[in-house]
Amino acid sequence: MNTLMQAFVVLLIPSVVTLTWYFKTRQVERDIKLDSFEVHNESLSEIETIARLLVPISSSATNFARVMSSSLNGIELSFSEIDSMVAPYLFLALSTIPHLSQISYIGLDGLFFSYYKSGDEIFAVYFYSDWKNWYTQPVNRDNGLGYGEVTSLNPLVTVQENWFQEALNSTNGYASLGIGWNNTQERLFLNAASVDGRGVISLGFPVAALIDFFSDIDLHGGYLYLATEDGEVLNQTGPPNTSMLLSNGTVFVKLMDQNGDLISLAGNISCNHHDGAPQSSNVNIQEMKYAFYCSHLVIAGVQSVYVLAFPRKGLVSLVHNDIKLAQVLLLIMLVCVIISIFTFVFLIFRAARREMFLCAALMKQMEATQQAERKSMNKSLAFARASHDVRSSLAAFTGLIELCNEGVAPDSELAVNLKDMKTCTIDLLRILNSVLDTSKIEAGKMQLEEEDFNLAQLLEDVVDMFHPVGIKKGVDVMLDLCDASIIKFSHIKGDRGKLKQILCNLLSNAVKFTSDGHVSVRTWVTKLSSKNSIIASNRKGILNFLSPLLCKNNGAYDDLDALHTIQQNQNCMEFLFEVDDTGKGIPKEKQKSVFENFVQVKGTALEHGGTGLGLGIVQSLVRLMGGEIRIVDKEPGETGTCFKFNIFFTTCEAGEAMPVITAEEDIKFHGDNAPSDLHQHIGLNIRPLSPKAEGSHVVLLIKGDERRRISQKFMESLGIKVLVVKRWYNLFHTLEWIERKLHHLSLLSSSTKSELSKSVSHNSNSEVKDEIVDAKDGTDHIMPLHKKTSFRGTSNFILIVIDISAGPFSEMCSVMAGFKEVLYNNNASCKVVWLDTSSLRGTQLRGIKEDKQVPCDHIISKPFHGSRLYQVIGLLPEYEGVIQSILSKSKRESAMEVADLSMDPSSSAKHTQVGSKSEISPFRHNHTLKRELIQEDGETSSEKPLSGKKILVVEDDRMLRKVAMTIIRRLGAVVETCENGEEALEQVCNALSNQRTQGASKILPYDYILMDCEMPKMNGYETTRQIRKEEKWYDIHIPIIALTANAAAEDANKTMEAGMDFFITKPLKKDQLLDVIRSIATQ
Amino acid sequence: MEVGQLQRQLVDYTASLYNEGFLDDQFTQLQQLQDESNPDFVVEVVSLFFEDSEKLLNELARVLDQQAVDFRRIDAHVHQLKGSSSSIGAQRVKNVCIAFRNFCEEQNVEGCLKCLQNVKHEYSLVKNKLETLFRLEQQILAAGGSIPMME
Repeated sequence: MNTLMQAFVVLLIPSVVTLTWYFKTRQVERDIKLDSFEVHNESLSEIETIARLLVPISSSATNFARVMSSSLNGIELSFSEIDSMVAPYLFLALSTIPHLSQISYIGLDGLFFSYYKSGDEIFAVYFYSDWKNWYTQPVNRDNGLGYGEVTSLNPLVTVQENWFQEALNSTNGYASLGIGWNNTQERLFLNAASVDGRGVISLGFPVAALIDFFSDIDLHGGYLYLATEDGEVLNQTGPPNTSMLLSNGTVFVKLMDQNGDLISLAGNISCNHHDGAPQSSNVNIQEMKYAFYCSHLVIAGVQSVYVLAFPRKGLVSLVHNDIKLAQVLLLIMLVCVIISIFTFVFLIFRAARREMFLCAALMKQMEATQQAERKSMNKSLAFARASHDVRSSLAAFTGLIELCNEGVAPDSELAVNLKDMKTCTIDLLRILNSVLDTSKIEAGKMQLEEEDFNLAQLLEDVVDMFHPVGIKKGVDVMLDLCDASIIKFSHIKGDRGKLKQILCNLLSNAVKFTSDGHVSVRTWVTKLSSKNSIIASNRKGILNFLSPLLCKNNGAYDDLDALHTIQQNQNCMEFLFEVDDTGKGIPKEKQKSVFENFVQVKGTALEHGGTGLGLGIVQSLVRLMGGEIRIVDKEPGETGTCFKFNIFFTTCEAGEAMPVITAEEDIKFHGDNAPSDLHQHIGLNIRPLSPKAEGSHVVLLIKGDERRRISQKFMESLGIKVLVVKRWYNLFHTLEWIERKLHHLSLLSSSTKSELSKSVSHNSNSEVKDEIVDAKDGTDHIMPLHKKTSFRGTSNFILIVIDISAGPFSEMCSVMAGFKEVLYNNNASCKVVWLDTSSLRGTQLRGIKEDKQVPCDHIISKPFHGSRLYQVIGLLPEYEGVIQSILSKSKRESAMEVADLSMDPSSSAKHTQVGSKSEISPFRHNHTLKRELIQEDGETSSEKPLSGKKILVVEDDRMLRKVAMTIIRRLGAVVETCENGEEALEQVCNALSNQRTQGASKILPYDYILMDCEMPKMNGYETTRQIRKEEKWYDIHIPIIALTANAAAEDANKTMEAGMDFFITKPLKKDQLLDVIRSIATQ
Repeated sequence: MEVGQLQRQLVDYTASLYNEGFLDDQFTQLQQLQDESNPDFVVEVVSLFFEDSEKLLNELARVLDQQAVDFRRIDAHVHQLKGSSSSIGAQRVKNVCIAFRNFCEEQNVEGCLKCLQNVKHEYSLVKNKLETLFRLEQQILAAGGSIPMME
C-alpha cells in the first residue's frame, strides 16, 4: 500500500509539471498569436493611415476650383483670357501640388487648356471652342510659356463624358480613374471640380505614384491587393499562382496555373463588415494557410477595396505545430513513466512477497531445526541417563550366568550354553556401549580419563587379541613398530580405554573385511610439528631474555606459567597410528561418509552385520583426543584400506630413559669405548659390531610376506644381519651358504671353541629359565649380566627363526638337525626358534617336545611381533642385557613358552603351567601379601586376607554400615565406623595426633578408609578434602575408597578431584573391595 | 512338623523369593556373612532395614503431603532407601526407587505419589516374605535342624 502511495506521489509531480508546462505553452502560443495579430493590425492601420494621408489630394481639386472661380469672378472667358488668366494658375498648381502630373481646365463654352507632365517635360494642350482642333505644345518648365512647335492631335475629352457631368453637378468634386495624356498613357486618379458651373478643373495624379506609398509598407511577409470598388485592380500582389477578383464587395481568390488558366476557386472573402475592424479569414492555398483581411479604403477620393493576405507559415504555425508535437511527446513520456513505475512497483511487490515467503520458510525451518536439535539433545540425554540402568541389568545377567556356571558340571551341555550366553551378553553389552558412547558423545558428556599406561603393551595386547580371529580367517594380524620410536615414549599419560576402543574398532573392521592377506598396525612417534616448536622456542628465548626484567617487577608469574606450559608441550608428542588391511577396501566416493554414524558401505551390512556406529565413534574419540582420522590413499595396485590417525599424548618423565643407562653399563662391561652407532629411535645404546667379527646372523623363514618384511626391517634397523628365506626349500641352501662361510672363518680362528659353544647353549637354557623366574616373581631389576661373559668373543652366533607353517615340519626339522651338526664342527653356536601361530598348535608342539631329534630352543606360540620380537633379538649375545632391561622395565611377562630339550618333559610342563598362571593374575610381582591374597582368592573365602589391617568405614546408613563392617571383619581387618563426615574427620585427626605423641608419625592410622559420598552434615568429598589437608602435616597418604551409587565416569572424576584414590559402586561387594585393595597395593 | 520337610519348605520358599525377584544376589552375600560369631547377622541387618525404611517411608509420605514439595529431600530419602534396599538385596524395592528418583527429577508429584504407593506395597511384600522366611528358620532351629545354605 505504501509503495502504491509513493507511486502516486511520484506520478503526481510529473503530471503537475506537465500541466504547468501545457498551460505555459498555451500562453506562449496565445501571446505569439496575439503578437502576430497585432502585426497584422499594424499593417492594416498603416494602410489606412496612408489612405488618410492621401485624402488632401482629393480635396485639392475642389480647393483649386474655388480659388479659380473666385479669381475669375464671373469674367467671361475667351481664349486669350484663358491663356493669360487660367493658364498661369494651372501651371502654378502643376508645379506646386505634389504628385500632380496633369491639370486641365475644361469650359462648357468650349474652352480647354491643360498642362501635363511627360517625363521631364511639360506640355500644354488646348483647343479652341469647337472641340475639334486640339493642339499641343511643350512649355517652359519655369514660366509655362509655350515654345517650340505646336502640333495638333485628336480630341482627348468630350463634354459628354460621365466624370465631366458628375463634376459639374457636384460641389465636392468627383474622383475617378482615367488615362493620362502623355505618351505612356499611365493611369491617373482624376479629381474634378466645377468652376462656377461654367467649367471643370481636373487634376490627375498618377496611380503608380500613390500606390507606391502602399507598397512601401512592411507587410511582414504578407501580400496586398488593391482595387477600386468597380473592380479595377490597382495593385495585385498575392500568394503565388493566385489572383483575386472583386465583385459586389466580395473578393474571390482564384488558383491559377502557370499559363494563367483558372484551376479552382480557393475561397471568397467578404469585405462588408458590420463593425469597423477587419476580420481575418483563413484560406488554404496550395496546402498553405493564409489569413486574409479585407476592408474598404478611399484613395485620393476613389472608393476602393484592399485585401491583405498573411501566410500562416510563420512563427505561429511553427509554435503551434511544435507545441502539439511536444505535447504528444510529453504524453508518450508520461505514459512510459507510468508504465515503468507500475512495472517497478509490481516487481518490488513480487520481490517483497517472495522475500516474505522465504523469511517465513526460514523461520519455520529454523524452528524445526531447533526443535530437532532439542529433541536429539533430549534423546541423547535420555540415552545417557538410561545407561546406568541398562548396564546394571546386563551386568546382572553376566553375574547370574557366572553363578550358574559355578553350579554346573564342566563340559556339560548346559555349561556350553551358559558360555555362549555369556559371550552373547558381552556382545550385547559391547553393542549397547557403542550406542551409549555415541549418545554420550552427542550429548557432549564424554570425558577423557587420564591415566599412565604403557602404549607398547597396549598395542601388543590389542593386536594379539585380534590375531587368533585373523588366523581363523587366514589373515595375519601384526604389529609394526617401524623405527621403534614408540618404545622410547611408551609410557604415556592419556585415556587408555578410549585408545584401546579406537584400535579395537579399527582392527575388528579390518579383520572383518579382509578375507586374505594381512592386517598391520603401524605406529610411530613424531615431535610436535616443527612450526609449533619453533614458535615455542622463540617464545622461550624471548621470555628467557625478558624474565630477569620481569622478575624485578615481581610480575613474572604469568610468564613463568607460560614457560611451564611450553615445557609441558615439549613433553607432548604426536603419536601416529595406521591400521592397514588388504581387504576389499572402501570406494573413493564412500570414504567421506564412512565416518558418519549409521552409515555402512552398501552390500556389507547383510554379510557382516553391525550397527554402522563403529567408525563414527572412532572419529569422535580421535577428535576428542585432539587428533584426526582419515583414510590414506593407497597405491593403485594395492587393495584394502588404510586408516591413519594421530593422537597427542604427554609422555611420562625422563625416568623412562632407563634402558639407555643399562645399555651404557653394558658397553662398559664389554670394554668397548666407541659410543657410536646410537640407535636413538629405540633409545638403546647397542654395542657396535666390531668389523673383524662377523657378528650374529638371523635367518628368518616366515610364511607371511608382510610379517617377514616387518621383522627383517626392524632387525636391520638395529644393525643385525638378517638372511631371509622365502620358501622352506630354500632353507637348506641358505644354511649351506652359512656353513661354507663359517667353515672359512673357522680356519682362520682357533678351533678350541667347541667346548665354549656347548657351555653357551647350556647357559642360554638356564638363562631362559631365569627369565621365567623373573617374570614370575616380578622382580624388576634382575639383570642377568653375569651371563654375558661367556658370550664374549663369540662371533659366530646364528639365530634361526622358522615358521612352523612355512613348510613340512619333518623336513625342516631334518634340515635343522643337519645344520646343528655342522655348527658343532665349526665352533659356532646356534639357536632355533619355532614360531607356531597356526591352529595346528597342540599336535605339532607336542611333537617337538617329545621328539628329541628336533633341534629346538624356543617355541613362540603367539604372534611374532612386539615383545616376542625383542625377546628373540635378546637371544643374540649382543642384545641380551639391553632387551631384558626393556622388557623388565615395561613389566612384561614372558609370553614365551619354552621347551628345553635338555630338561625332562615333566619339568617343562610345570614351567608352562606356572607361566600360564602368571598370565591370569596380574598382581604377581609385588608384595608377599598380595600373593597370599590371590591364592586365597582362588581357594577359599574363610581365610582373612586383610588381617592386621585397620579400616575406617564412614557410612550414614546403619544397615549399610553393618553390612560393610561384617564384610570387612570377615576379611580379617579391624573395623572402625563413623556415621558422617564430621565424625570421620575428627576420628582421623585424633588418630593422627595420637600417633604423633607416640612418635610413630609415619605409620598410617588407618590402612584404608571407605567413604560414602552422600552423607548428612559433611559429605564424602568434603571430608576427603579435609583429611587430605590434615594429612599434609604428617606427610602421609591414607588411601580413601569412595562408595558411590552411580557408576558414571563423571562421578569417578568427582571422587578423584576430591582426592579419593578409588571408587566402588554400591552395594559393597567383597570381590570388588579386594580388587581395589590389591590395586592400591600394587601402586 | 518334620525337620526335613521344614528344610525343604525353606529351600523352596527361598528359591521362590529369588525367582519372583524379591531378593537378589546381595541377600545371598548377606547370608554368607552370617557365621557362628555373628549368628543373627541377617536378622539384625534386615530388621535395621525395616526400621530405617519405615522411618523413611513415613518421612516421604509427610514431605509429599506438604503444599510445596521439597524434591531435594525426597530425592535424598529415596536415594538412601535405594542404597539400603540394594544392600540387602530387596531388588523390587530398589527398582521402584529408581523409577521414583526419575519422577523426582522431573518434579512430578503425581508420579512420586504413585511410586510411594508402589514402594510401600513392595516394601510390605518383602517384609512379609522375609518375616515368613525368618519364621521358618526359627522353626527349623527350634526343631533342632540346621538351616540349609543356598548355593
